[in-house]
Amino acid sequence: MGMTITEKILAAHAGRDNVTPGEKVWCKVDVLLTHDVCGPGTIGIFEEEFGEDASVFDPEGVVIIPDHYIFTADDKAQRNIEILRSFAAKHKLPYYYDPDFIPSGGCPGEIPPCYPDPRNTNYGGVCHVALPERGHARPGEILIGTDSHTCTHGAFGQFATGMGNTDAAFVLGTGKTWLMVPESQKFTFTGELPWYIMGKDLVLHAIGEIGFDGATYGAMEFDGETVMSLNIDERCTMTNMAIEAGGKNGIIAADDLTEEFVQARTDKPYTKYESDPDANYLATFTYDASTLEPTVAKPHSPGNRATVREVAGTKIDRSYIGSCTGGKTTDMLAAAMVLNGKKVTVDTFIVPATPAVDISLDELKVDGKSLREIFTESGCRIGPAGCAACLGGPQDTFGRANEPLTVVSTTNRNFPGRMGHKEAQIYLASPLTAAASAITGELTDPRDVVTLTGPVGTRE
Amino acid sequence: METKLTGRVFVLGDDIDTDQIIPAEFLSYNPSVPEERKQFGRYALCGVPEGQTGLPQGDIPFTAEGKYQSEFSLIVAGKNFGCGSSREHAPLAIAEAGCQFIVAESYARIFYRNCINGGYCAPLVTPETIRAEFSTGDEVTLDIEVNTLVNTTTGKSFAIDSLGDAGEIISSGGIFKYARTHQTD
Repeated sequence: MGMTITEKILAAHAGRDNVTPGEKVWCKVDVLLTHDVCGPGTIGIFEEEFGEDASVFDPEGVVIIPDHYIFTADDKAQRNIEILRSFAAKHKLPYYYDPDFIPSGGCPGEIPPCYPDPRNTNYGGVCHVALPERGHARPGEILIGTDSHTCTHGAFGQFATGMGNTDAAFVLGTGKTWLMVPESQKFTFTGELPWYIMGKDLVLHAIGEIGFDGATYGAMEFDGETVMSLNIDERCTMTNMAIEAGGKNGIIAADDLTEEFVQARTDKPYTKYESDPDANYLATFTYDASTLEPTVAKPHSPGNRATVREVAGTKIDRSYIGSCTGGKTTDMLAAAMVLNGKKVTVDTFIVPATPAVDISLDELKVDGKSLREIFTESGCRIGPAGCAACLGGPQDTFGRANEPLTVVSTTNRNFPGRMGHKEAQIYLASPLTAAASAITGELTDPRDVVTLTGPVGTRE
Repeated sequence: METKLTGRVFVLGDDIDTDQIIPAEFLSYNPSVPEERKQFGRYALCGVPEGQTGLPQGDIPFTAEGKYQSEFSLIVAGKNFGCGSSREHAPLAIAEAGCQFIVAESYARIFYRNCINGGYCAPLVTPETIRAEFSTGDEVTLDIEVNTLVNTTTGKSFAIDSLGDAGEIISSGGIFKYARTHQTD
């Protein structure tokens, strides 16, 4: 019996020739990722269990990216960044991405200022976009993160999954973790991608198919000519949301585009794996992408699927374009192509995921205008890079729904209270749909506002 | 962890996600600081929407206003309990509130693992849908040695699945303490 990519990676890290779903195996971990929300608790457990003077398993294997609560006056949030700073200094961690515009001691009672220049900061921004940008996502590796959206990095042909503080502390001290080998489900997309369909539509379609606990404990493998035609940003949008079906990991085989991206950012060796033709899948699904419709997840579940046309006309109070799944350069470009020359009629928040995406707002042009010019002219508010209102966060968070608003959002989760107020109604959608809806003030299929010549997020 | 418990039950529906268990605005508290850790008990399950908190009535807070400990010692819920984020603050909050047991039809993966490896509370599974058989505030008796949950208010008894090897990890106090007491060399 052949193996899937996921099984091959786990076998290799367990020192085995093969593994089968359901087996529990001890695996070597290549990279541990943490951030400001779960880092302090992880460090606390690490020091309590291994001792104040214990060393981390491999300083090069620890990536710390503060990103959740950066632009807030919350004193505990600012204190948490100090904890990460001192831990990184004590252990001489080369891959700690400091929000260096926040002075030592924080900014008591105030929201820290934005980085003065996105080109000149060590700050990473949203960890799941920053980690690949900085060369830490590599095919064939095992990445454990203290964040459920760690599954994003499966887009690089690696096994990546989220865990809690205790498990992360164990990895920090030992470089190992035990894993149950997940059963894989395969989602194959074929056919030419219409311009109005993005990675977000594809993955919302798949989650809607199996339900938002339909991949619990399992692997979601995405494949097919349509998926492989996507650029890196769009592939990440898909694997990012595997957890929204309960998945342990999402994965896409590495190809030449993956290798080009990775090699431009790291010299570290890596291993490419492909699923065997006779690999065993719990279920396989095949979709013709050319026939799909722009898709949303209605409140309050990412699996609550509808086509945009089915819910068209629903009034919205806000449009939010940001996060690890919806604040990448491709997402910004897609939104700008819709908003170009038009005015938004509801509050519209643009949050680039990372300083690099922020830079692209000035560098990328549509009809000779920068994305920043397009957003500003259309009446959007642009915030500094970070997780911002995707997970609500402290009350003063940029874009947080502090009232029971109806929001169309390019983020990944719409549980009650996720973006702030418990009664806020969150519709998850692609940046094309979020931008089209911002113009009309109601949920709107992008085809009803613009016509583009081709898809925004396919490889060149 | 006790193997027998008599106490009052708190009832919830399906798909109780980690944002409902502990909303993100409280995540800046550091669980490693004892004074801050207490806060998680205070805010446990405060994100559950009105109408769904403490079924069937739906307006009962898990932890009463101003308190740090819940009067409820066991949660009965539906499927996919703990879905959403990897925040270990979720099972920690339930445990800090003084609740050691959850009985649900199914769990999301990361929450389940966090419950066990962190030694917070026992995520017990029922083979059938039982939450309609309980009203928040009913007195219940749980015995995990014989794997039964009895609603002493109604007199009905329900089977629960064995925790298997995971039970010992929880009763040791988590994966680290378990490892120390089971070192073979």
